[in-house]
Amino acid sequence: MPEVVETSAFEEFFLAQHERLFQALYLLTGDRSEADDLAQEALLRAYERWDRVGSMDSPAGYVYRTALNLHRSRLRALVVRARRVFVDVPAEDLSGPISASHDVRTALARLPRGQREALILVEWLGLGSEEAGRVLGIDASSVRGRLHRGRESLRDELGDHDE
Amino acid sequence: MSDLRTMLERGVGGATPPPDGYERMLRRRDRKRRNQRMAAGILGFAVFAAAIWIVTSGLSFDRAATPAVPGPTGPADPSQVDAPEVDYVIDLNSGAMTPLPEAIAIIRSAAMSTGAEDRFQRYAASSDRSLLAYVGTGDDENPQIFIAGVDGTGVRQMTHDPTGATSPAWSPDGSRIAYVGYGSGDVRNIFVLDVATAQSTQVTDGIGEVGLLQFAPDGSSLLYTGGTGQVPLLKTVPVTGGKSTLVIHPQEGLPDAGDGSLSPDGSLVTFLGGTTRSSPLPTTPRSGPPVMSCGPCRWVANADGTGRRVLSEEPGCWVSNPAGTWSPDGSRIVCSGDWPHIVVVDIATGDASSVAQGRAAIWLDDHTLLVSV
Repeated sequence: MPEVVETSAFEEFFLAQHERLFQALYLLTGDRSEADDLAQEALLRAYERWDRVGSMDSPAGYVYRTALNLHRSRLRALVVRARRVFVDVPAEDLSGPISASHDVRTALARLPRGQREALILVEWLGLGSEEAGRVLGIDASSVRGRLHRGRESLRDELGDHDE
Repeated sequence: MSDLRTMLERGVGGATPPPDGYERMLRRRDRKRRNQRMAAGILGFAVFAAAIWIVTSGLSFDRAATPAVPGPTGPADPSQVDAPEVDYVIDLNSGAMTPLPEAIAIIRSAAMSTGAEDRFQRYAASSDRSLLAYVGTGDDENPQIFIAGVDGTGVRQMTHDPTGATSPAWSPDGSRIAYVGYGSGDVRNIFVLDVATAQSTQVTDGIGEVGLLQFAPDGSSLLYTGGTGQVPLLKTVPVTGGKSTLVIHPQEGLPDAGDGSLSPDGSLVTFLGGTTRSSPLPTTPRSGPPVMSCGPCRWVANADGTGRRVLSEEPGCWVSNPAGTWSPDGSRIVCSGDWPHIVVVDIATGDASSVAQGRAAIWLDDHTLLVSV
């Protein structure tokens, strides 16, 4: 692990990215503590490899990719064990009256993960389709497809709340 | 600003991360380093103690002849044995456990502390069981593939992937190692490494997730788990690259399937699959109530996916290391049961028993497992 890190450059990067990354992960996971933990771990990994990450075209892309991979890894481990436990448990009834904020996160949670990730990368983090594709490991055209379907689903779901 | 952006802002609801994020990250780094130092210290002490024991008892490391740690006279009862803190080899006949050689264990320990590897596919044994491929910390501090003799001699770093390489699997003839890496790209892909030249060739096209690899017994293709974390799909891809093929199609009544491994003769495949069917599922002949749904279960099927049946529901037989799932004689598989149990399941009868403690295991021979903790 490199002991000498360009702390000031990294700190600048951290301060620029932290809140945005946290909010993106909050939208993705719906859980503040999970979002904070994922953001901390992803940024720490960038810090540990800053000599290489800092010279990348898009250090932020590296952090987003790391955060998404961490989230997927945790999901995968959880899913393997949780599915057998909860297989017969009916899905949570999410139809009751809820706050607008929770409403949006619930609608996001109902989207397929790929659509959710594409929406958050492009709409929240402001990445282009090409860069989002690189983060997700898919073609830009696939990103656009997921965006289209995700937007349609969200609007269908939240139409009543849109002025 | 788009209305969708406004919608997402409403979803965030003004949430901000807890304060002092940068300082907390630095404290997290310090904790991580401290844990790494502690792990290294514990390992160093264990190695030192083992070395002293070997010297004073006049024994050398020889798994077959003399276990470094004397075990019980009969097969181990894992519920009565503490899980070792370092990866180890266990003889299922005697229950004797032997820590991995120091040369491998130290490199492994450093890699484990990064948390960057597939925790189930850390090792692969060559078909003659003389060599191990494993994930260690490379000279660039990233996880990389190493090979070494099972006795710890001849350690070599084989990959220099810029982002890191994991999940090794040997080809049947021992000339190649498949692994998951990034190469010069940004996404995980399957690569095949020529052991003689240390040159890697990319096999997959960067679409979707890849993991849990195994060479087909004829060496022409690779079985792997693709799809997504929530909906894994069992696929094969030619070693020379090209289109991947689904082994278990989601439309065939099994919505997801992953973590697959082919039997040594290539006739059978075992995998983890989920279904919520409400009629009894085909199972191995056994007593007990019928299996009505799997979320997921361990299955066995013909290599083309036909003739599948539930192999084991209870006790659990969850994720396995495809590169070492099947015993060399093809009669049993090893998988991870409920933590921390390592479970061996008889293919013919479905009988399962807990044989060791750890996170994952591979077969070294028909009565020996290498267990990672």
